[in-house]
Amino acid sequence: MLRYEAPKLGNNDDFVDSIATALLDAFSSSLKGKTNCKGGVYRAGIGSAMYYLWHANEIGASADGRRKGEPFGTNYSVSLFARVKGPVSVIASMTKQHFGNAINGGPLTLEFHPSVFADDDGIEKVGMLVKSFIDRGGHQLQLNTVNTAVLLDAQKHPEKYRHLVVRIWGWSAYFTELDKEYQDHVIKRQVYKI
Amino acid sequence: MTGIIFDIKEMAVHDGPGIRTTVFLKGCPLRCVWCHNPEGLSPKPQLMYKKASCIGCAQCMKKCEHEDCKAFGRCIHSCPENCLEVTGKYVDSKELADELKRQVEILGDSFGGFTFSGGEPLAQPAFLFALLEELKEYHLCVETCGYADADVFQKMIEKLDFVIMDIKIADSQRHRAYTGVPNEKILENFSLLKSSKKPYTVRTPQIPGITDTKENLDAIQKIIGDSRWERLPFNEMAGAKYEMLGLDYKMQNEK
Repeated sequence: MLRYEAPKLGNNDDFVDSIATALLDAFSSSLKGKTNCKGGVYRAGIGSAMYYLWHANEIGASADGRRKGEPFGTNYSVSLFARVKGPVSVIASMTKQHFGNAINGGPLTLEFHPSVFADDDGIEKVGMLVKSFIDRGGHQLQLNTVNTAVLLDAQKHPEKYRHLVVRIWGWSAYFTELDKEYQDHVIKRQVYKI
Repeated sequence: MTGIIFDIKEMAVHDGPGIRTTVFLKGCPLRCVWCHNPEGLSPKPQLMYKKASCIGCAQCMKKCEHEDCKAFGRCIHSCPENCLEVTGKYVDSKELADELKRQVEILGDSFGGFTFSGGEPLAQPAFLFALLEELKEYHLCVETCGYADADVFQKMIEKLDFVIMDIKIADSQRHRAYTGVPNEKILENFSLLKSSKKPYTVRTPQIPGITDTKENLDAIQKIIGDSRWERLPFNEMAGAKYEMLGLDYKMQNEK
């Protein structure tokens, strides 16, 4: 019920998106005025680095319907199993928050099917989407082009795919050199076709 | 005005300028044996069942009180693996138009327009025209099989900025054999389109042994002359959705 039927972040639903806004506001305001031992300030940010996998077993089942042991979405992204309307609504949802108070950034990862980049027209329109994201106050958009079938095949026959590079979060990597749990995470992310 | 749709797809980039949104209307007068959107055929909501994910828990067989489950004789909300999905939703044209306009807000200058596909959009003419009217300030396109009465087709052309029309098979008898209907109406509507001043593209799905024969393609070329013509490759994944709908896929051997 929570997992598949409750409203989810990523669908341009003002009610759900306002929860994300309140959480981020609470986080960033809690850091205000705090300094570290060298007198430096803390800056709020939503880059989860590798913790979206490391915390999978440490944090119990969560209110979005995630089961214990399942990874979280990458950084500032929708839940892996969330049904979303498409990349435009995801961008709408993820740019409503007050990033001016979270200057360490909120990287959003989107995966597109390779067919999106098959011709100049498609590439130009992805460019337009990036521009809309920035115009709406987005910080950092990480775009991946993945073909799930290729990735699954690469897990089986890594020798054939030594040069396959994927975007993980703030960095890219050779897919076949990644630990299996990272490979599985990339495969589970929502892929948008056109 | 109420109509039935089965999908809204964001970021369609190949059907016109800018980033577009495509709405799929449910219900189609044709029964093409190769159809890759079989959930668009029937004008009613249908249950889709993903057998491969089913764990056999039978939760869906338990009696429930949900209003929206009644039509299907099983509970569509109880599946722990999300194997059951209803395709097809009745929507009000005004409410749908308002929802669609939010795409314009999000995308700003990058927004391109709306495309109506299916199914066959002209199978619900009053609903389609209500939508086109609500959204007339934007770039509007329809993907149609062309099987409609001439006056309806003419009215549609007038309300659009761009038309994408299929001509699948040139010979009427073969057309009837593979799509369920003859093509005279379609070809008459094509002449209306050709003589209108509206920009358009003709599309032909290339189905092995059926539409991609030299004879058929040459005959279509004769009909359409120098019109812009896109020939779409056969989609090998096309059969995937038939089993979910409990339908037979007649092109099984082509996989």
